[in-house]
Amino acid sequence: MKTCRICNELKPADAYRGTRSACRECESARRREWYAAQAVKPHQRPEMKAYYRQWYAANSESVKARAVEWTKANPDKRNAICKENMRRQREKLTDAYVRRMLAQSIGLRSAHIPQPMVAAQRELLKLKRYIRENSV
Amino acid sequence: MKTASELRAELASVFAKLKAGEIKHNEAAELANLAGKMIASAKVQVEYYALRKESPDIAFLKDDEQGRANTPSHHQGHA
Repeated sequence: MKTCRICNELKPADAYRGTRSACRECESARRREWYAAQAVKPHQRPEMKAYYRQWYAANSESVKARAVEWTKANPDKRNAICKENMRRQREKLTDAYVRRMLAQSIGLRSAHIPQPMVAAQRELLKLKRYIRENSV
Repeated sequence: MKTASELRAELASVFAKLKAGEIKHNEAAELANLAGKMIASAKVQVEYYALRKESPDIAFLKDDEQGRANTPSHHQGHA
């Protein structure tokens, strides 16, 4: 019999892994907690997000300037990236793609398109695609 | 079918039926055509409110909580 250093309960030796001082139950619980904590990556934590937002607000001009510079220096790479992004969005029918499609047809901004309309349009596109691909 | 969410659900069910072979392609195409007309009419309403710089108040698009949350409350900013 041994006392677990975490739950302070007296437990038989087989409740422990080897010569560990914490019982299996407590170790499992601790591991579960640790894994759950790892699910949120450091850069996804609220304090880091706030830091990035603050950093970007302070450095947005230089970031944008660098991006423009890179685009001018690498037009082919830029085109390839844009094409690939568009292809992926079209294939997956992402919110951004459907929203942009609806907005462009009436000359509005994407932000003006309500979400239920996007969802309905996506379903319609899926159906139309299926019909086009499978009709004889 | 009075809302966009109901329309979406209906389209999803048509899609499922079409895949299962319960309805024919031309029948599904007709339904898709009709759904396109409904969405187009909603688009005209959205455009009307946007041109008036007003928050859209469209019953057809108002049933979805998430949709309401994502819909911009005004037309000044661009996310």
